[in-house]
Formats: sequence, C-alpha cells, structure tokens
Amino acid sequence: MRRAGVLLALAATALTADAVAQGNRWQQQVQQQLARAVVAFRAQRFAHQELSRQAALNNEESETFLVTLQAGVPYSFIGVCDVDCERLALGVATATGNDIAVDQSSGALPVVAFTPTMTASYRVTVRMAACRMSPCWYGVAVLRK
Amino acid sequence: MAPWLRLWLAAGLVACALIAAAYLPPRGGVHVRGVVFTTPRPLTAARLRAQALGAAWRAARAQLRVAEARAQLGNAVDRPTKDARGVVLLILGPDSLAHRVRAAVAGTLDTVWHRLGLGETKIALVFVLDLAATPGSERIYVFPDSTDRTTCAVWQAGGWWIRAGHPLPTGPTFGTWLQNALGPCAFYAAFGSPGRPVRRWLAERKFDVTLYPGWTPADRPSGTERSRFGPRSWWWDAIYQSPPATVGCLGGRAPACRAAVLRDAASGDDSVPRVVTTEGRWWFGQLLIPGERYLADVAAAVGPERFLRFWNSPLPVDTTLTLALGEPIGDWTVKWERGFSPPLPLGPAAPLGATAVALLVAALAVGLAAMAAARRQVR
Repeated sequence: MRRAGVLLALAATALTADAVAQGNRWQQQVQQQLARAVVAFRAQRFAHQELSRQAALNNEESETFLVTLQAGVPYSFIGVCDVDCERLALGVATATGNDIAVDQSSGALPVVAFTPTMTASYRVTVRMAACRMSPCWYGVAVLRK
Repeated sequence: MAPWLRLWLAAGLVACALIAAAYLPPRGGVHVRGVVFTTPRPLTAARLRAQALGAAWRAARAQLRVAEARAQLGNAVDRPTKDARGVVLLILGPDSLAHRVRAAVAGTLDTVWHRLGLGETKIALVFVLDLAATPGSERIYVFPDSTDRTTCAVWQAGGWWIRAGHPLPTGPTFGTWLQNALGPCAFYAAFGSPGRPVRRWLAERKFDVTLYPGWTPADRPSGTERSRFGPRSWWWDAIYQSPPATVGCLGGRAPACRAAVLRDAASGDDSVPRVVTTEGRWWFGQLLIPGERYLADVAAAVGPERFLRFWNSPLPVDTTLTLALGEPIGDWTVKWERGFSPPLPLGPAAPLGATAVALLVAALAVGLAAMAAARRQVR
C-alpha cells in the first residue's frame, strides 16, 4: 500500500506537468509573440479573435483541432513558436481531411489566409517541423474580419 | 634394472607431476570475488524465468498505477508553485524525518543541478524521495509522453542514506548518489526530449547509457566503480555474464564496440514505454562497460551543441552519433574504454606461472638429456 501511495504521488506530480511549465520563459515568449501578432493583424481590420491556443510539441509532432468557420468571412490563422523552434507548419483542412489552405513559408511564423465558402467545422493542423530542443511551445490564433 | 634407467624414470615422473600441478584443475577456474551482497547467485533457467517475470510484473504494476492515478486524481491534485530551478522535490515518509532532511536534500539537489549546468529547463524534473520504502537500488523513471511532454519524474528509495536516528547525509558521495539517481531525467532536462530514433534506441536498452548524467570533467568513476574492471584485476563474474560484443569491446576491438553501442538501434518498434524501472544489480550483463557513463562522456567530449544535434536528430542513431563524434563509433568507443581500463586480454594465452613451469620442465629435460648423452660418450 505504501508503495502504491508513492507511485500515486509520482503520477500526481507528473500530472501537474503543465502547471510546472506554466509561465516558463518559452511559454512567455509565445504569449508575447502571439499578442504582438494579433495586434498587428487587428491593424489590418481582423478585429475579432475566434480562437487562441498554446501548447507544446516535440520535433516532427503535429496536433489537430477543430474550429467552426462562417461562410464568406475572411479568416487569418497565425502561428508563432518559441526561440528553439526553427520551422512551424500550419494548415487548414475540411473535417474530412482535404487540405484547403497551407502556409507555404518555411519559417517560424506561418500565416494562412482563408475565406470559407460554406459554414462548417474545419481542421487546423499545427506541425512542429523543426525544433532544436524538444518540446517547443507554439501558439495559434484564428482572427476574422 | 640399469642405474641410468632409474634416473630416467624418476625424471619422467617428476616432469609428469610438475605438468599435472601446472595444468590440472583447479587452476584456471573463475575466482568468485566480492562480499556477500555483490556475489552473484548462480543463474539457472528457473531463476532467469522468475527474474524476467518479476521485471515484467513490476513494470506492469507501475504503469497500471500511473494510469489509475491519472483516472482518479484528474486535476484535483495540488499544483506546485513554479520552481525556477526546474526541479521539484517531493519527500515521502514519516513527517518528522522528512521535515528534518528536507533542507539538506534540497540543498544537495540544488548543488547537483548547478553542477550539471542546469537552470530553468523545458522539461521539469520531479524527484520523489521515498523514505518509507524498503531500502534497495531500484529506481523508477516516468518519462514525458504525448499526454505530458514537460515532466520527467524519478522515484528513489532513500532507505540506505536517510534513516531515523542516523546523521543526515552530506558530502560529495551523497551528491554523486543524488546526481546519479536523476539518471536519464537529467538528460531530458538538459537536452529536451530526444528525437524518435534516439528515444527508441534508449528505450530498447532501458536507458542504460544514460544512467549516470555526469558530463562535467570532475565526474570520474569512484574506486568502487573501478573495481569492476582492470587494471589490477578483472571482475570476471560480470565479464562472463556480458554479451560477446561487450567483452570484445573491453578487449579493444572496434567492431565489437560499435555493435555494443548500436545494439537495438535499428529496432522498428515505435512504441516507447513511459515507465522504466532499473533493477538492482543492473551492472550485471551490461551491453557496454561502464555503459552508464557513455552518453554523458559523449556529451562532455563533443560539447552541448553537437550533442543536442545528435540527441534531437531525426536521422538513424548510427549516422547521427558518428556525425557528433566526428569519427567512427567503434574507434571512439575503444578510446573511451581505454580511459577506464587496459584492454581485456582475449584469445588463447598461457598464464605466466604455467609458462614458467613449462620452461623449467623443458630446461630440466634438456639438462638431463645432455647429462645422459655426456655419460654415454665413448672415450
């Protein structure tokens, strides 16, 4: 029983991973970069922020999340990542997985502009294409006019 | 019977006795060294089966408990405050004892952390020191995975070092023990999560080449560690239980060293266990001696930048390690091995004592023959 308690505690500490990492300097970098990018895009009349997401990915890992987009509304998807990240890839696809818009740049600040023709859920895929020291934190914001 | 014939018979018998004394058992047997707790038990098929079953059971139990904890605790656990050192210390056991030792352990851990050149790290390290557990050398590592990429946890029983009624541990030996307890989690803290090929390779080997994270110049093997191999004597029990490539590497053979380092590097299995337990007596049957220091010494030799490129590379391990070392893996490893011990003598070789006896017998025979020939000379 004692050993079980120890392992539970061990697991409990492992569960608090995000808590330990919260506010570390890499995450702060991403928060600041994302805030600056959002301000810059607001100047281009992308006034509404639909979604903001931050997480960590290891090198060559990817993550997908769903976002509902309105037909005929121009959207901008902005990605930023921490100082160890050398390349971040961002793409938008239909719920069934067909690619619609992909960032063509090879840098750490991908931007995807997209105006959907129908209101639906779309899949946003973030891929940590090159991270010097894993994991790398990234942030994605979805803005609309 | 002629007198000269008696002489020949006597000489022949003496020669036979000398040869028998030199070559018949027990000469050449393996001398079992070590005190009670280091003397290996004979390995039988039943014992091997029981050990394998026990290891599998312990790993399964640890994984099950981690899964149970995830299900039961959820987000209800107390969240520790941000720790700028990147290491969180949890001490389990009697409150009075835990309270008494906390400052000493935290101070030593802090010293170790700085000695390793670590500050704020991407992967936080949680060190669980269990003062209530049965004393033993078993350690459990819980590595980051896709559900939690930023924590590496170490569970360590503290029973040998910290006990009620005993003075608090201090000094460099305790610091070294604590540093070695961090094991592969220190690598995760220093260099982040390894790339997929390195992660698979390490997992297949149960992280045996990352057990001692001493990449500073001051981190050299202690006298106890050095007693496992030359130069004065060899720990034959450990050597006889080692795979052929390991023994070949000790003997200074570069292809064997390469094979010992790259064993399991080409594994196609993509699943990596999250929980790894190091058994007591892990040094028996090592793939590389002293493998526990290998990657730390690679890091010290090539520098943090090149080591990071190796650690995080998507290329196969043999390619990326060769690039990091700047020379063939086998050649570098032979030189690394020489830093600990002279080459293990391999192949057929007559022992010094037996050679001396044989030469003596030969000289005696030649002398007697010469004497007999002289007496038979016709004048």
